[in-house]
Amino acid sequence: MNVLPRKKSRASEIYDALRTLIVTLELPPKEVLQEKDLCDRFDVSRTPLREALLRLADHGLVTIAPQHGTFVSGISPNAVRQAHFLRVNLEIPVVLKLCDTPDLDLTVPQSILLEQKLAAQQNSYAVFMPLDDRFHQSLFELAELGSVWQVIHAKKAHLDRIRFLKAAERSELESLTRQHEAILDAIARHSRLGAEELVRAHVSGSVGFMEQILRSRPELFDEGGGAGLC
Amino acid sequence: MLAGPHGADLDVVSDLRARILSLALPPGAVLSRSSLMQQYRVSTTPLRDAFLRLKDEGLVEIRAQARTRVTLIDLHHATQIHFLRSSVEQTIVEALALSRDPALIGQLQHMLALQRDCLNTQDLAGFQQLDLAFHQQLFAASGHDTIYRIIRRESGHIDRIRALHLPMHGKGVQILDDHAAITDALSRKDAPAARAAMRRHLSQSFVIGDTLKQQHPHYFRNDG
Repeated sequence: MNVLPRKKSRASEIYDALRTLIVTLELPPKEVLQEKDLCDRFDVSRTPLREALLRLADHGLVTIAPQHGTFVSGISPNAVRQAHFLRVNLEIPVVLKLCDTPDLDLTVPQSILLEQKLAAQQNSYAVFMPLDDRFHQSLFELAELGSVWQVIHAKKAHLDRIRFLKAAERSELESLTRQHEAILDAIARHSRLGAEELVRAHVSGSVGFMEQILRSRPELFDEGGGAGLC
Repeated sequence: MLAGPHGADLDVVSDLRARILSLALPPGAVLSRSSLMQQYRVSTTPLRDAFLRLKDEGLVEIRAQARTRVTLIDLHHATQIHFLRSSVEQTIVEALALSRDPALIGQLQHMLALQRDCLNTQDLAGFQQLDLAFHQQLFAASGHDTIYRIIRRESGHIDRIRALHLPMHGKGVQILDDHAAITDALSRKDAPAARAAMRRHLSQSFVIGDTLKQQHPHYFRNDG
């Protein structure tokens, strides 16, 4: 469709790798990033690393402070809320559009769901979370709205850190999997009302969870509301 | 000169962006590094960072061993971002109708009056500026300025389609009527009417895309 199959640049690969490390809190909020260490770690020169860091900074994931070096940004509650607002307002129309589409081929989301069931059983949330994203992405792509997913994805890293923290909760992975199954089922039955309610409930869990950990783990967050999304 | 947070020179970025969006630098145009460096009196690195930023916004493409060019208009991308915008703005006006804010209604009516003046005096730039301001006001009033900025940033293809779209008097009248209907529904606290008025308003502008693509094929991507 609109994305030509082309080789990812080195900078994009580093961007993706660092985004994953930040989102899974392997690089926790406030962690200092040394350019030299990162060059060694990814075995690259400074130019692509710098390009990746600039893009991460642009997306609010790292902070480049001229006198204080580069560090992982704290989670911004405002960025989480805005990303949630975007998600809920797009996932619902996407699913409604799919409910209205006759003869939809749901093979791709169904196969991702199956992989999720396996990952949930092994309670492997490092495997599960990317599958979770791919599931939602596949729905956007079926609705021919893959670029919209890309925009949301680029802006939802702060929300993803909350999702990742929440995934460690007991039986969270089974619960997410069951919800995905119910959403696919509603799409297959063309049940608009059912689908809308399921999606709203499904994506709203993280925001409530954030309000809890804002109190219990304040050190993860950006002081004073912070940078937001842009 | 204004220094960007990460080295990119914001004056260069915003000037290049404005020239691309207004089609002064048309889709497909080659950007010569040496002449731009001379023109803006900057060195390689700030120009490179400016290019990277515009690349991130989908406005230029940088190929190794090749020239940097202005991207072709991607109709498919534009349609999708328009869908995003429309979904979000319908929710926003619905929420605003339920939380009626008398100051907001006054501001919107004031903008409408100014926009009507622009139409009467054929001040196209002013008209477009107020058009954006009207929508921005709705995002701001509902606490979603960040999302407004995200959408603006993704609107490079949409803005260029709009710039291709020759200014027509009938279109301006339609926009004003739509804005008036939205404002009216908000002042009556009628959430479904506000949502419907916004949906109607945003469904007008996109029908024209395919026609423009036929008229200016060399400005558009073929796979879009």
